[in-house]
Amino acid sequence: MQARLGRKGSKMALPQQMVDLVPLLRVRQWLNIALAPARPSAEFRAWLKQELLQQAAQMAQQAPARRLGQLALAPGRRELLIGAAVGSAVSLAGLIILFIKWRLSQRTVHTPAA
Amino acid sequence: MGTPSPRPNRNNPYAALDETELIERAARDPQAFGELYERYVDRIYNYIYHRVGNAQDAEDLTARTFQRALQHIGRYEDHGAPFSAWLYRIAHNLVANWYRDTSRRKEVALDELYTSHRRSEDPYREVIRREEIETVREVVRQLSPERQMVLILKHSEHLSNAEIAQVLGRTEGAIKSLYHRTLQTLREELEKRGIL
Repeated sequence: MQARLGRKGSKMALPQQMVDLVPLLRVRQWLNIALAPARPSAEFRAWLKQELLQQAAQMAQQAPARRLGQLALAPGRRELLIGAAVGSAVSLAGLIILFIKWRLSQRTVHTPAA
Repeated sequence: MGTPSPRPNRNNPYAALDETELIERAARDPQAFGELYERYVDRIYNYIYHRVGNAQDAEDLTARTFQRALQHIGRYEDHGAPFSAWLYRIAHNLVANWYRDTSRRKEVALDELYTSHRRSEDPYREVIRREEIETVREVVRQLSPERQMVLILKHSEHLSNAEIAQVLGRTEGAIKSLYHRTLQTLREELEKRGIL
C-alpha cells in the first residue's frame, strides 16, 4: 500500500527494494493468519495418551519373551545357535571318548600278568 | 532450539529428564514415552492439521504417528538431529500416504476453528475475509511438502531458520533461500488470485 503511494509519486518515494519488499511482507502477514497454530482437543490428547501408555505397557511386558524368540528365530542367529550346539556336542563327545580311552589304558596298565 | 526443555514438575519426575534420557528409557518404560508424547503432540498435530486441513484426519494421523513412533523407538538412533525431526518424518510419510491412498485433496476444507480469527463486524466483509484465508491455505497446500513444512514450522511453530534446518537436515542458508523462493511463489500466485 505504502509502496503504491511511493510509486504514484507521493512526497517520499520509497526505494525500489522497499517497493519489492512490501508484497512479501503482506504474504507473511497472510501466512500468519492462515497458518495460525491449531491445537488438539484436550479429550483427544488425553485419550491418545492413555492408548499409548497401554500399548507401551504391553510392549514392555512382551519384550523379554520377544527378545528370546528373536534370538532363536532370526535367520542368522538360528544358524549360529545350531552351529554352537553341534560344536558343543562334538566337543563333549570328544572329551567322553578321551576319558573312556584313558580309563581303558589305565585298566591295561594295572591288569596283573597271568 | 526446536527441542522443548524439561518441564519441572514435582508429581512427574519424568518431566525433569532431558530428551536423550527419555528416548533411552522410552522403549521399556511407558511413562518415559508418555512424557515424549506430552512434549511433542501439539506440534505434530499442528503440522498434520495444516497439511490435511481438518481435525478428524489430523487426529487420526497424529494417533498413527505416535503409535508408529512407539513401535520403532527401540531402533531410534541419534544422528544429531532433534527427536522432533524423526517424529515429523513419520508424520510426513503418513500424510503422503494419506494423499496417495485417496483423492481427498479435493475434499479438504479447513475447519471453522481458526477462520474466526479477527472476526469483523461486517458480515459481508467477514465472508470475503474467510474466502481469502481459504484461498491462501489452498495455495499453500499446492506447494511441495518440504515447502509446506518450512512455512508451517516458521509461521505456526515460530521456529528460526536454524531450527528448521535441523529438523529438515538442511543448512540454514538452504532454508533461508527455500523460504524466500517460497514467498516469491506465493506472492505471484496470490497476486493472480487477487489477494495481494
